[in-house]
Amino acid sequence: MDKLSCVWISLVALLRKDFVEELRAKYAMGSLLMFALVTLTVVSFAVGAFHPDAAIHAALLWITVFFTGMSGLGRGFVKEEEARTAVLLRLAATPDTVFAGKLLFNAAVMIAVTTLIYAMYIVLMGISGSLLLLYAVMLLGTLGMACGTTLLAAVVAQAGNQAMLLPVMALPVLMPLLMVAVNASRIALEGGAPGEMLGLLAFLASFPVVIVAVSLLLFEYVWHN
Amino acid sequence: MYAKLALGAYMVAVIVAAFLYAPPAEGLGELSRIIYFHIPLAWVSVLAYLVAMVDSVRYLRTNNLKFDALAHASAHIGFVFTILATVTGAIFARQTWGVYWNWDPRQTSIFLLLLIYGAYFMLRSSISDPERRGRLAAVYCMFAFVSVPLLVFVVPRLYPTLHPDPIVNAAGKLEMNSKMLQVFLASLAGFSGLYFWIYQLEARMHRLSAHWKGE
Repeated sequence: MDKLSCVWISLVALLRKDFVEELRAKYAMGSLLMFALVTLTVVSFAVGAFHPDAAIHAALLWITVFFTGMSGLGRGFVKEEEARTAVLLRLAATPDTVFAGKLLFNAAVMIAVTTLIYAMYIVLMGISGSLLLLYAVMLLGTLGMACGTTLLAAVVAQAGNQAMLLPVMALPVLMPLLMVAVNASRIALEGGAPGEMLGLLAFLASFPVVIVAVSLLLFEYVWHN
Repeated sequence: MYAKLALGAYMVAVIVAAFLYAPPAEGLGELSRIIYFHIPLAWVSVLAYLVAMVDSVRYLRTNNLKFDALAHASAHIGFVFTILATVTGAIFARQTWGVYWNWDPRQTSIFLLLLIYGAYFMLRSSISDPERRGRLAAVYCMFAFVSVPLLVFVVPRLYPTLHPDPIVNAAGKLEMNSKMLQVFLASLAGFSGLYFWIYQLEARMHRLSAHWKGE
């Protein structure tokens, strides 16, 4: 068996393991979606009868997405440390494969959560504008979040898993992404066309590439102890 | 010893020159003298971070805890300089634009550096095993820096309304005359010297304490 198909097999096995665990424990679907729901409820209550403009909506939306992501993205590595399966994982797969597996799982979770936040936000807040474009921006932005947080989640899992550590460490890394995502969301909520934000979309699409490249270089040092 | 005294005398000379030798800039008047302090402070903030990154790389390569201690020391010094640069910048902004803080691209990037330093120390304080602390802190030190070039060079280009100032801000580098430039460069060298002096003090302190512990 050549090396590449070996990587594929272990990657698929890793993903399958994570999804099976998820189906059994329903962590992401349970607590994460509830967290998103609670945050959206607070936002909706706080805004109440006011009619915020597109800029405020974009900000509230991304605050919700950011903190929901931070509350759930650390889980992937923490559960391996808690169940003491991290050692086995180190033996069974190469660091790059482990990273790719966790990254894909995180991305899948974030896409599901973002879709829910997007749908709930439309229903609760009655926003209008280029909603499909907004969805595309949110998907690209959360993909970047998942990519930027996976390495940090591995660091946090080894640093005693303090709950506050992940958002504090992730914000500096994600700040350029969030600034661009908020701006692009505002344009979409104002009814803008994709042509008005080509630069922003290009940034959102290239951010995951940059951050994954750096993560792959550094992950080995986090993973091997 | 002599280097320390020379550095002290040099810094005194720079401070005196900044107030007496350099002429005030047109338009800004006496306010412009802040560039002899604020910009060198900001420069050292970045320089200290780059040194911490280099030390982090060396730690990951050699597993020698000395380099981890050096990276930590450099980050400590850089953190103090970053706070000073942020505060002096805010004072200048208050005098020229009317508000202390308005998320100008320059302010955002120095604030980001402050956040990175803060997260770095928070990460370090939450790990007790020295080797693991060194390894994870080194990784974070390099990883977090990715966003700095993105924020400094890419994001300002995406916002045409915000004025895309290069490295030196509106204090008027272009209209700096030769006297101002002399003092500015002298101050830049002086503050860098100050940084390296504290840095090698920290290195010596670490060497002595390691020796004392019998390592």
